Amino acid sequence: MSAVFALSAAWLVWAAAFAALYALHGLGCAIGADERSVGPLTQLQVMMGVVWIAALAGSAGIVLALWRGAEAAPGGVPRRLLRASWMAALLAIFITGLPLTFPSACV
Amino acid sequence: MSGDAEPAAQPDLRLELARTWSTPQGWWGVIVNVNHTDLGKRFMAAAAFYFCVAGILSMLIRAQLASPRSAFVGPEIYNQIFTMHGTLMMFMFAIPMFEGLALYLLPKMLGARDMAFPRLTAYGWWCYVFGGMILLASMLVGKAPDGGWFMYTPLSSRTYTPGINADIWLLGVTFVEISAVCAAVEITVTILKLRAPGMSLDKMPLVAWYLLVTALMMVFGFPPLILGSVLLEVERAFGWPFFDPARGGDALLWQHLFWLFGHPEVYIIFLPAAGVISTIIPVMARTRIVGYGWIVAAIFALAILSFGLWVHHMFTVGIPHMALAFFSAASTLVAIPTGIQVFAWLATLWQGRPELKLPMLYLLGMFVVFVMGGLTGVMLAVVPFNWQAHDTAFVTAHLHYVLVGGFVFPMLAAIAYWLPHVTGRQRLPRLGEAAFWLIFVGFHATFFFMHIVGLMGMRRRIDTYHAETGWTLINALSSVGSYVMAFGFALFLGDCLMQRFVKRRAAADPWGATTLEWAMAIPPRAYNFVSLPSVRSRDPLADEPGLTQQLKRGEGYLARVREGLRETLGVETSTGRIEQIVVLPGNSALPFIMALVTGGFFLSMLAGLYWIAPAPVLGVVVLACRWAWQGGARADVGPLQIGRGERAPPHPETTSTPGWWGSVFTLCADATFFASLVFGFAFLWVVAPNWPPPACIGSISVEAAIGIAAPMLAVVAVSFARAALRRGALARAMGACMAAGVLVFVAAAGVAAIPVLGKLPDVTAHAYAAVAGAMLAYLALHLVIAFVMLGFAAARLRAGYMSALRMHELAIVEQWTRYAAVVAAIVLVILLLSGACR
Repeated sequence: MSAVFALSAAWLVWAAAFAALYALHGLGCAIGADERSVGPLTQLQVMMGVVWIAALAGSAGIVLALWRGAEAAPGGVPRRLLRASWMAALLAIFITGLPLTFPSACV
Repeated sequence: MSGDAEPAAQPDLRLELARTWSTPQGWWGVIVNVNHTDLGKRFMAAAAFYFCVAGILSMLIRAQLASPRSAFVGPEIYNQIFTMHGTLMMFMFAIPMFEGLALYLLPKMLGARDMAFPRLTAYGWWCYVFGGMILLASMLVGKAPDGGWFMYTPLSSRTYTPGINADIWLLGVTFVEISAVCAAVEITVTILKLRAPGMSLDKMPLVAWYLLVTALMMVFGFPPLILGSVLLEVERAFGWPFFDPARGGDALLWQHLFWLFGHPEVYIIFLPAAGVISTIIPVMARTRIVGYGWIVAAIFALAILSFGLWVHHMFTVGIPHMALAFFSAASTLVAIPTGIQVFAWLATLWQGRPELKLPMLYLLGMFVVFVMGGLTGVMLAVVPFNWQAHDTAFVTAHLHYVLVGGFVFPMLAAIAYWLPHVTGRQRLPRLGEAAFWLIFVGFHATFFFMHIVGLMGMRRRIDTYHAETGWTLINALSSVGSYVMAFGFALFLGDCLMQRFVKRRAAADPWGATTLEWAMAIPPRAYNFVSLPSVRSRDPLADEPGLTQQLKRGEGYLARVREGLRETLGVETSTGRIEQIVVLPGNSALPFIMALVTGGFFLSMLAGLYWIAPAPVLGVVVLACRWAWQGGARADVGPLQIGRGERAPPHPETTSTPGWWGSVFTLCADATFFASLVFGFAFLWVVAPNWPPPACIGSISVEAAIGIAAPMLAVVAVSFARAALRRGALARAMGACMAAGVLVFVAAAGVAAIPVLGKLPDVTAHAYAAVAGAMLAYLALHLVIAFVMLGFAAARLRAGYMSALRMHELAIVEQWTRYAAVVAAIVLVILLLSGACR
């Protein structure tokens, strides 16, 4: 099973980040977090931004670790494949989070 | 099981194997058959039948739309026709066809003698048969579902569909879904545990990867639909307002639950077909697949991304733009892993020397059709375009390009490729090629023009239109095209059926394939392999040319029949190292009887005889206990000879048994069901109108304390039982199991006290109470399951089925007790917190 987990881990992180963003968005809009300011941003943008950046930073960290570490194959999966998976997931997290830059969240 | 001496060979080995694995002749044999080859063929034949029925319905649709203001059928019948066309194609054809192919092929490709749970295969088959009969019968009596294949509320609610039509869909489809979840668990465990020795995950044929991921997607994808169907049926039957906005429900909850299933479903259909493509292309191109690892990585990416796309079916329901943009981005991203696969297939063709045989012809058709469908899919992922094209014939065209290109063409290729394996015969020359061109040309004539008429504004599902709209010529062309395509399918079917009459023997490996299913006699025997192979590469027949003959001579593993038992090998999940001898059950009428009793439950619900419904439920519990009682062993025998000088223990004496893994994945599906219910509660609370509710749940501190603490103590007791069993203290283990059972019973009583003492508000008054009631019912059900399992474990201990070596049954019981405890904690904490709902 370790191979299955190794192959899916990057995308599970994407899925978790995606689900968290969508859930926070629904919750934030319901409680009016988009109407409360935190400096130039809204409370909702800050909450979602923290999740997005945390997911990006975590994934980027793993990509770096996979780049630098020994050429072992976790779960029997070749390291270049894992690197590619994590880079693709990192890009996917970045792209799916881009709508956070929209000026309005709940319209 | 005893007797450890290994004879050099059994001279009458094939006879012994045939006797051990055979099925009785006649109707009794039909009922008790649990063999994967027969059941796989049955699934595929039945799916083909439903394809024909749904195809005929589509021809009726095209007859109706061929001319403006058509009076061929009225709107009521037309609604039933298009609903049943979609329902049969999605639930009765596509999924069962792939299940059938998987059941037939997997053990053969993996080097095993059967699937991990043969009786579960048979149970799934009978649920599919009986569920399908409910749907077909409804059509014959003119009461078929008529709310569209995705059954949107409020159209499907009691107010707007007062008859039985929607109930038939909800109950019939749920019945069939049991079959799908059974297949998903079985396929997953078979791939992980029942491979040939040496077949590590990276040496599996690609189709096994595809099927593994598909099955995992089903484990997590189907429960939201089952939950949605259960909730809607409860709303229709008992008035619990989950989807009624006037009472705190929300019609959008149905859409979320449906598409949480519905979008992954598209990939659940596509991925097995892609596995077929990845298997056939290298053979047709006389080379090896390019980018094996990249394809595997792309499958995982595709599978997980597909769970983040469901809202793109809901772009027009009024969701905020930012949320739409999340899903729009994810929807466009999914094209990338799909593209990786397409490019890997093209690179394989480029690298090899392709031969234009019939399977290849269908695959070329797939490339054209599927890529076109994929491109219109990217168009629809863009929100502004989606708003324009939503619910038009453009979407109908797109989904047919995707599903026919991504599933039907590959399945036709699969049939052409593996039919010699099934029948042992060759097809007639040129008939299949003629069928291909009729299907290909007819398909484009039917659906390409639908893009145009859709962009001209023609809505999907309309039963007629005026001549002034300018749609007449295009619709007439589409209708002609559909009939050309139907001729093509008829010709293809005729080509297959001709093999029954034209008896030209096929070669043992007619395509020069390299996978293990061709290392056996064709048509295959019930036991698949005379002896089981050891695998050292991804293309065993290419890398070990003498392998087929070695296996037939009995030079592989398990080249003997031990005490009339059906045996195959179980391996460690990643490495493929031999771990156990898996003893499979023989022929049994239990699956048939249990499916019949399960059907009794659905029929009593359908007939509105709710007071009868508990009887079949009780029957299923009794039969399930009987089912589980039949396995296992009453004595420790230790490792046994398996051939080639190696030994392995029988599976009851190991911990990582197929049963244990099956239980894990069943719990995963169960947990997804529960998570969907919790999501529903949160969704309604946050989004639905008419909240807060008129009344909150009363003070339940005492009940909650009992309901949380007692199952936790039960978990401790079961752990104690395992520790006692490990030390050989059977009496103590039994006592601990019984104590755990009592604790679970106390917890169930505590939970039952909440509604009995009137602390749960009226469940028909508001969705808050309805969902709270649903969560309590779910919890009570799992406490009852844990109670029954603990009692069962105590009985098994008493009967001598467990020992310090044979502990896996208790491990499974412990899993379910722990799960019940976790559910109890989550449900009761949620209800405690929601006590301040106003």
